[in-house]
Amino acid sequence: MADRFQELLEELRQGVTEYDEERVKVAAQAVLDEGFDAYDAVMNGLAAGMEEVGRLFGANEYFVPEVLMCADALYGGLEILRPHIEVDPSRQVKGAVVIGTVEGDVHDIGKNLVKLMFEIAGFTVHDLGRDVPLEKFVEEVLSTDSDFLCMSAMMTTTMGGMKQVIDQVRQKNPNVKIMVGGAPLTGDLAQRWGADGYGKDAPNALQEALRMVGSLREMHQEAAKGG
Amino acid sequence: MATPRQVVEQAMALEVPERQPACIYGGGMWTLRQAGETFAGLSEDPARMSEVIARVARDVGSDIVYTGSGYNNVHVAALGGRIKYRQIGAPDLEEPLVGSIEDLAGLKLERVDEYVTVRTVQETARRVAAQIGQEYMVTMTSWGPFSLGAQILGVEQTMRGCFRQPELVRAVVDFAAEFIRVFYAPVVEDGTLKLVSLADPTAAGSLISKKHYAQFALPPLQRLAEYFRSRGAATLLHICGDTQDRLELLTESGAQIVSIDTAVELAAAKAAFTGKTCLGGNLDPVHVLQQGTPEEVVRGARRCLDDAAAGGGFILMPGCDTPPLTPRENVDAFLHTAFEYRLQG
Repeated sequence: MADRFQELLEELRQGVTEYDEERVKVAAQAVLDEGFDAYDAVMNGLAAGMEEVGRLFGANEYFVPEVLMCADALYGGLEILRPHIEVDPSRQVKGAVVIGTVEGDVHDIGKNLVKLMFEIAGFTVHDLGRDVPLEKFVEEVLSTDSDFLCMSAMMTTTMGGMKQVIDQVRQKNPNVKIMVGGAPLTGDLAQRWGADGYGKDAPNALQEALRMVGSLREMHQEAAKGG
Repeated sequence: MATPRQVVEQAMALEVPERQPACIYGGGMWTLRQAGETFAGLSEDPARMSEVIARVARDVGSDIVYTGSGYNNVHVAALGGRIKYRQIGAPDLEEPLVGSIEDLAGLKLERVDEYVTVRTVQETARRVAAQIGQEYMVTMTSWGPFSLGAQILGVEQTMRGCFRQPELVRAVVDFAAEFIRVFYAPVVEDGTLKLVSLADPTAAGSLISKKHYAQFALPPLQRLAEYFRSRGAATLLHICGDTQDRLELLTESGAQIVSIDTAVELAAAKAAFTGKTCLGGNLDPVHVLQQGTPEEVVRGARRCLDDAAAGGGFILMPGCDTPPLTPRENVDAFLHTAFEYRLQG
């Protein structure tokens, strides 16, 4: 029984990394038909496959078309499995994210990859799209009470807008974790602007976010102790 | 003493030039800012635009002079695309123009020359060439076929299409190449331009694989470069991102000059290009050219020259478009480091 489940998880993983949507769908259906746990299949099959895709992307073995195809394969499986995931408090989503490219910037392919990584990892994502007015970021973070704000810019003429948003969000809610990314940025610059994280590329952005989740949890725990 | 245009021609011929050539790559928005102008303000006024460009060019002294850069997104407005202008940065196309091969039939290439901004850019090139073309290498720029095709079809659809709809991607990129030919034809056929500049950021090493580059981006580029060559004009190709894995392919593009991004090791590119293609590159345009001190710019430029200038066939350039907010003194430091560099055969 356990061996069969391992076999299906491997099918899901490989189907995702080899962007074989049919293979993923067949394996996902088999998970349900044979009575295995859908949540386990999502996390240790589909998401594990996507983690490998992130590694291949970081190593310049996969590029944007490959990653999008892998994501399509993953969503093919997710559609089958998601309705069968039982709600369990220990499986709650990790947090909510507001994401977008800053005003003046329409380059959103990197932002979409980061969004994808967040969704797969179980975050609730509020995607504001591209060319987003700076005040919209601030409003959305407050109205959705999100834990994270992610912004990207691909041009030197637009990236400065991120600093303004960081300053405004900090004034209203200092606990929001902010991550920035995009070709003209560096980790140094992100730090100087007061961001908590810098996403060099999509997988790296997710790693940064997970690191920040850790620090958010600590923060909540300390607040709880104090309270 | 050789003119700026002559040293560029010597580098393109893969010779050791009389002095080291250098240019600000692109820099259309930067140039207009030096004169306190915006593209939107000049987009229908070739007389003023050419006057501004020629004046700034003479003052700055870049060996290659761009008569139109930073407005690449505006060209497709000739096909009906809606453009959003900005105060500082480059204008953008708001939405993709097609979703299928059938949609391409609705885009009328014969109308391209009627579009006022296209005519302004072409007329500006003629006027700038008439004013300073004897002395400087005057060029005009547009997207390369893959990048323009991705703009017409939408970037994400193009990326997925590489796998799911290769025929559609090929058709759109071929259409884009034909658009580029039509866009340049009047100023290439009349002898205005001896150098055509193509920027292909969406075919960047960071976005598509070497295999897809060879499959979709390279063939239309080769056809275009061959057309320009047959009309007496050379091609300058700029490609963004890390292209280290496909340097050989870039030398097969047909472009006489290939300008590479900061992400590529210049010495490795020089080794791959020697005897084949003139190399341009690759000072970090943001963190050094724009944000560094003039001393840092000099140090960075010298490193590029030490890596690639020996033996000729090299033009010092920033690794991508010159950012609009780059300080003038940094541009001066950049160019003069090359002009004063002692070249070795």
